[in-house]
Amino acid sequence: MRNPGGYAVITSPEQARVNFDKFRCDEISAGITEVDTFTCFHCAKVMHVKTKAPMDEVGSMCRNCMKMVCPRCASGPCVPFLKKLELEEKRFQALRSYGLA
Amino acid sequence: MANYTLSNSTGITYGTSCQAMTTTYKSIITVAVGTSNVASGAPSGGVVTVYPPRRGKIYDILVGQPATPADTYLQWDVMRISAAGSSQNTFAGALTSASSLFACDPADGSAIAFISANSSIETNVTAIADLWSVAINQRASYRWVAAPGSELTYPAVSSAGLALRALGAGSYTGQVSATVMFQEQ
Repeated sequence: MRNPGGYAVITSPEQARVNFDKFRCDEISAGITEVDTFTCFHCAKVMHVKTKAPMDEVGSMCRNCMKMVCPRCASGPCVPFLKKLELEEKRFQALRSYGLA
Repeated sequence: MANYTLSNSTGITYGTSCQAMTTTYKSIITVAVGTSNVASGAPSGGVVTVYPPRRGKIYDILVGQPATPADTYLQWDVMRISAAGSSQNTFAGALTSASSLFACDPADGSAIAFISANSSIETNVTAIADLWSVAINQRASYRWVAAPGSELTYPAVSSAGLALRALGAGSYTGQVSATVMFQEQ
């Protein structure tokens, strides 16, 4: 895929089946199998991308932030994961300043 | 930003034997923000001081099964954990006191995160969807490397963290080996 968010390498001495992301099961051949991945911009889930698979099979592109998202987040609102993280940290810092965390 | 490498065989070196797989998940490697009441989580070696939580990122995962080849499979995943308060002490195999040994660059020193390997305690896993998941044949090994900006991140919030877990699905009851590389910011 274009601009992958990572890659996976599976080394198998023989043909085997691999379940990726609890979404799909693929047959891999003996030897080394390489798979591109992307990390969902909304929930940070890592998705393995099947070569030449249509985008609908591996997720979607958010039309707001223009980033790849996983099937779980495809129909949800656009809340980037890093924004969620920042909010969580701000809440923690506030609670801590009150002596509550 | 300091990078650290942690293998569950390191946990064995420090006295926690690798858990044999069963049909329930086992946390193989745990990386989390500690809390000030976790003695082994304090960077000063156990003294409870002003605790500086840090955001962390897992950017490399390697998993495999060191056992006699057979046709069964294992389910691996990374879950968020919420090891609240003192319950974090219930994680077996805490390695934080030895964390100065895990730095990729020895000049970086100790990790501030709470680290454990081969824990058998699963009570603190947040029951939400996994961040990374793969089920592979017992004979296969797997490695995932994140591109910059696509790592698995946990917030700088007390008790938040990530756990790499394995499930001996099928009939696998042997041990597993795993290595995680993470970064503290």
